[in-house]
Amino acid sequence: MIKNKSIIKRNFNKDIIQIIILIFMLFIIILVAGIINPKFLTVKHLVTILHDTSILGISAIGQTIVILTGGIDLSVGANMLMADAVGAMLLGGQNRIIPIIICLGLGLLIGVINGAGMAFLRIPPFIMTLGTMALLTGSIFIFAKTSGFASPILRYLSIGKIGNFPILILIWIFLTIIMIIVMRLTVFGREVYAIGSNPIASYHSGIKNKKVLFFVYVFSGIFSAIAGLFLLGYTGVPELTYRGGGLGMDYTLSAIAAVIIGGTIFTGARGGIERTIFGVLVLKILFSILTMMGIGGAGKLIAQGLIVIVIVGIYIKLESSRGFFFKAHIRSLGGNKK
Amino acid sequence: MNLKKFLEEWYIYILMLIIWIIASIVTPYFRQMSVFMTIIVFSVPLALVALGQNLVILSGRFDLSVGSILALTTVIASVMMRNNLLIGILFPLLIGIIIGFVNGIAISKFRIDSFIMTFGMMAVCQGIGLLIRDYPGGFIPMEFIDFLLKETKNIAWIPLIMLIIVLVVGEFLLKRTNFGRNIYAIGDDEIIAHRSGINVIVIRTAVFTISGFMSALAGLFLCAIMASGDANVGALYPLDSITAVVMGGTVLSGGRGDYKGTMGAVLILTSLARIFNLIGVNIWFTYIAKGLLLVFIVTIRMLGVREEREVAL
Amino acid sequence: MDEILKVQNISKSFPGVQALSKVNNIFKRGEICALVGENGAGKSTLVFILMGVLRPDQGKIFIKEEEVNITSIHKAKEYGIGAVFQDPNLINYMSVAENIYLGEQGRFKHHGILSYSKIFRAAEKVLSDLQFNIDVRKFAIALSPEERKLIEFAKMIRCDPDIIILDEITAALDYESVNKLFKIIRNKRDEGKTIIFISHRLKEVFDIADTALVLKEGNLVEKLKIKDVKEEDLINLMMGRKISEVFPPRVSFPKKVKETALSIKNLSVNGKLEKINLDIARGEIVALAGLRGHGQSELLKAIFGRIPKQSGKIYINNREVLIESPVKAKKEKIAFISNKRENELCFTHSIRRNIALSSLDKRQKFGFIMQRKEQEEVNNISLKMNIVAPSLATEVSSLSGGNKQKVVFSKWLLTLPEFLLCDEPAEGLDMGAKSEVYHILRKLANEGKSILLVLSDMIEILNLPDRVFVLREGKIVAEFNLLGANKEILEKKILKASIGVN
Repeated sequence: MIKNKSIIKRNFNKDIIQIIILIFMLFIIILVAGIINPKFLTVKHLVTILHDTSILGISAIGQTIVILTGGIDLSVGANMLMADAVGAMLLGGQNRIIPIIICLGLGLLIGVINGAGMAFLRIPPFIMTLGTMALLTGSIFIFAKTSGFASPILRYLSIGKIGNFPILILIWIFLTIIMIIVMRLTVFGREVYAIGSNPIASYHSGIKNKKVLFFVYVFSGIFSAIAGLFLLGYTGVPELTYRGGGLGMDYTLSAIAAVIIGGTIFTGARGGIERTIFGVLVLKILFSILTMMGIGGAGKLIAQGLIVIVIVGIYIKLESSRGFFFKAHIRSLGGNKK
Repeated sequence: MNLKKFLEEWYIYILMLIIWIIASIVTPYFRQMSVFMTIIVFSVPLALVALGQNLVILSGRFDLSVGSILALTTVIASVMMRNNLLIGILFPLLIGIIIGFVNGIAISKFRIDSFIMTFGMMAVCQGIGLLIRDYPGGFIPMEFIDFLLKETKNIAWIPLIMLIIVLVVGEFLLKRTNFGRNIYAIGDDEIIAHRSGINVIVIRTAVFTISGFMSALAGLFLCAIMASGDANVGALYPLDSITAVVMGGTVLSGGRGDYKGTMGAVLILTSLARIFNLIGVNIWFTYIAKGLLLVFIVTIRMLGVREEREVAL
Repeated sequence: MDEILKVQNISKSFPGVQALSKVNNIFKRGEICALVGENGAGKSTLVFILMGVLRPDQGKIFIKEEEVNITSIHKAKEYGIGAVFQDPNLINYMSVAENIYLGEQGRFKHHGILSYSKIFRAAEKVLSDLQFNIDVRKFAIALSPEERKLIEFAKMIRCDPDIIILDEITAALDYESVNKLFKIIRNKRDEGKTIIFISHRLKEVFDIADTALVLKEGNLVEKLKIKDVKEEDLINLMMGRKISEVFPPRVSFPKKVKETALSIKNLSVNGKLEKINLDIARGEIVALAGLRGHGQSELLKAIFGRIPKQSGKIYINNREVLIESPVKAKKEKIAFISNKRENELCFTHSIRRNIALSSLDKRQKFGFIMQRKEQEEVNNISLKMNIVAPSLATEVSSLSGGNKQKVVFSKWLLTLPEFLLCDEPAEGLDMGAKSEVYHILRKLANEGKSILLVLSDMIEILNLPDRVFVLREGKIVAEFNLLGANKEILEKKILKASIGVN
C-alpha cells in the first residue's frame, strides 16, 4: 500500500482554508465598516454589535446541531416568539420564576413534538417543523395577547452590564462553550456527527439514531425558547412578526443563514457551532454596515441573499477540488432531497 | 383498480369533499355559489405557484424563491401597467423566467444546494421588490382586473378556466411528455438518469425556469385581485406551495407524485381559510389547521408505505 | 474488417495507485473476451474508460479502426458500446417498460401524446425476444434482484450495441437465468457482436468465453485462448501465488470439546428464509454458501437485528436472546461486518472516529469520551490490523478498499465481540488484503470467537471455513464438514446442492 502525504494535506487544507476564509471575511467586513464609519472600530461599538448578536447566536446554536444531523428546524423563530409573548403575558413585569419555567417548558415541548414526529413517525424534518411552526403561528396569534412585559431580572440579564460588558454576551459565550464541549467531547456529540455523516452506517454500528435525533430537536427547542426569553428582555415588550410565511420566520431564516455562512452546510458532516459563531457575526456586522449606509430592510435582504449564495459557491468550489469518484452525498433536509 | 389504489390516487379529493360536506352542514353560507367562486378565485395564485413547485420537488429539489418572484411581479406590474398594459404583462413574466433560469443554472450546473440558492434568491428578489416600492400601491388597469375577475351569471369564468387549464397542462406535462417522464427519473435517481442519457442540467434548469414563470403568472393574477402591487405578499407562498405539493401526494425526495393531488390540496387549503372566515373563527386557525393536516396526511402516508429496505432511524 | 475495438497504451492512475499501465489489446468481432483478474487489477477501470465514465491519462481508443474520444456514457452509446455495471441502474418508481426506454419514451407517441400502451408493447417485445418472463407494468422496485439484472441487460441490449460489456452480471442470477443469458450472449457473438465479460467465477469464464485477458495490478499479463488453458493455470496467473500461502491452516476440532456457542432455531424471514436451524461452536468458522440471493445475507441481518424475523429463536450459550436492533445485538456481543462499505463507514470522518464509533460507550465517563484511552485503543487495533494510512486523522474516503475494510473490522473488534457475522468480508479487496483478512478471521476463531460468514467464491469456501451450509431458496439444503475433505469432490457436491441437483 502506498502512503500518500498529499492526500492528508488536501484534507487538512480544506478545513483550514474554510476557517481562514471566515476569519478573512470577518476581518474585511469589520474593516469596510470602519472605513465607512470610523466610530465602528471602537471597542464600545463592537461590544454593542456583539450584544445585538447574542440572541441570534443563541438561537443558532440549536439550529446548528439540527443541521449537522442533516435536518432543519423551521420552528425556531416561532418558538422564540412564543416564549417572548407567553413570557410577557405571564410575567407582567413581575420578578417571577414560574413563568420562565413555563416558557422553557413550552420550548422543550415543541422540541419534543418535533423530535417525536421525526424520530418515531419518520416525518421528514422539513415537514414536521413546518407543521409545528404553523401550529404555533395560529395558536400564538389567537391566544396570546401582546400585553405584559419583561421582568426586571430578565431585563437586567438582557441589557445589564458588568462594568462596560453586557451580561447577555457572557451568557451567549457560556452557552456556546458548553455546547461546543458537548459536541466535541461527549458521546452524544460524536453520535450527532456520525448520524449527519452517514445515518445508515451509524445505525449499523449500533447507535440509537432515534434517540439521538429526538434529543437534537429537543435541544433546538430549548435554545429557541431561551433566545426568545432574552429577546423579551432585550426589547422589553413582545413583538410578534409574521413576515416570511409564519411566526418569526425572519428569525428562523437568519439563524439558518448564519449556520450556512458559517460553513455547516447541509452535508451535515463538517462544521459545527464554532463555525456558526463566525456566521452570526458576519451576518450582523453586514447588517450594521448596511444600516450605516442608510440602506433599509430591503437592501439587507438582498445582501443576506447574495452573501449566502456567494459563500456557498466558494465552499462548493473547495469541495469539488477533491479527488476522483466524487459522488454527491449531499445530505438532505427531508429524506433525500438535495 | 382496487380500493387501496383508488384511495392512494384520490384521497385528497375525497378529503376535500368531506370538508365541503361538513362545512355546508355547519354553515348555510357555504352552500352559496359565491363562496365557491371565492374559493376558485383565491385558489388560482397558489395553484399556479404550486405547479412550478411540484415540478421542482418531483425533480428532487426545492424552490423557496417562488413567493418573492410573485411579489416582485406584482410590484413591477403595478409600475408598468400604467403606461402599457401589454408590456406590463410581458415584462414581469420575462423577469420571472430569467430569475428561474438563474436559479436553475446555479443549481444544476454549479451544483449549489437548491435550498441555499433559492433562499438567497428569495432574499434578493424580496429586497428588490421593497426597493421599488415598500408599501402597497401602484396602478392596475380596470380592464385587466375586469377581464380576469368578472363574473357572468355568478360564475367567475376566467379563474375557473385557468384552474382547469393548469390542471390539464400539469398532468399532461408530467404524464404524457418525455420531458415530464425525465423529471421523474431525475428525481428518483439523478445518477442513473444521467447514465441513461438524460440531460440532467437542461431539465433541471428548465424546471426552475418554469417555476419562475409560474410564480410570475400567479403574481399577475394576484395583482388583479389586490388591484395594486405589494412587495410583501409573497411571504406565505414558498411554504404553502410546498405544503400543498406534499399534502397532494408528492414525495419530498422526488420521483413520485403528480399534480392533480396538489391541485386538490390547494383547493382544500383555500377552502379552509374561507370556511373559518364564514364560521367566524379566528383566521389564525387556518395556520393550526394547515399544520395539523399536513402532519396528519404525511403520517398516514408514511405508515402506509411498506419498508422495502432497512431504515436508518 | 475484423477488428472492432482497439485499446492502445491505456494508462490510468489515481492518487496513490496505478490502476492501469499501458494496456494494449485488439478486440475482434464475434468474440467473447473475458477480463480476468483479482480485485484492484484494473478490470473495472478499463471498463469505465470504455464507457466514458473515466478518461485515460494516456493512450488511444479505436473503434472500427478510427480513433475516438469517449467523453461520456452518451457518447459511448453512440459509438456502439453498451454495458451492464454492478451498480443498480434502474429507476425504482417507474415501470419496467419505461426503464427499458428511459429517456426515450417520447418515441412512442399517439397524436403527439405519450402512449403508454405503445411503450408497454415495445418493451414486451424486447423481453419476449430475450425470453425473459417479466411483467413490463411492474415498478422496478417490485422486482427481485435477479429480475432487476435481467431488465438492466434488456435495457442495454435493445440499443443493439456492437460492443457489449458485462461486469459481474451473474452475481444475482439463478442457474437457469445464467444459462438463458449465456445462450443470448452466444447468439450475439454469432451475429458478430463483441462481448467483454467480467466475472470472478472462473467456471463461468470457462463456460462462455473464447479468449481471456488476464490483468494483474494494472498490467495486461497475458492474453489467452480459453481452450488452450487449464483452470489452475489461470488461477495462478491471476493470483500470482499459491493457495496455501493465501489461506491460513485450519485447526482440527476434537469433537468432545466442541461447545455450541450460537444456536439458531426455526428462524424464518418472510419471503427469504424458512425455518433455519443451525449451530456454531466456539472457535469455529462456518460459511453460508449457495447461489447469491438465496437468503444468506438475510440470515446474518436477521441475527443481527437489522431486519425483522417472523419466527425463530436465537440462543447464546444456551440462553435465549431477543435481538431486534443492532443496539441489542451489540449488547449480546455480536458484530456484523458487511462488504457494503458505504453503509458501514462515515466517509468524511477520520479513521479514528470511525474505528471508535461502535464502542463509544466503553470509553466514557459521565457521557464524556476518554480521549487518551480512545487514542490508545484505536492506535493498537490499527497496528494490529495493519492499516496503512498517513495518520489516524486521515479521512476514510481517501483509503484504499482494503484499508477501508480493515477500518470496518477494527471498529467491530473494539466492541470485543464473541460472534462475528461477516458478509463477503474480503470482497473487492486485492490479493494481499484478502489474505490478511483470512488470517485475521482464523486468528479470532483460534481465540475462541465464533464466526459465521457468507461466501460466494468457491476458492474461499473450500479453503477458509471449517463447515459449510448450502442455502437454496431460503432453506438449508446441505451441510459439509471441510476438515480433511477431498476438495474436488466437495466442490462438485456444493455446486450440485446450490443449484438443486441431486
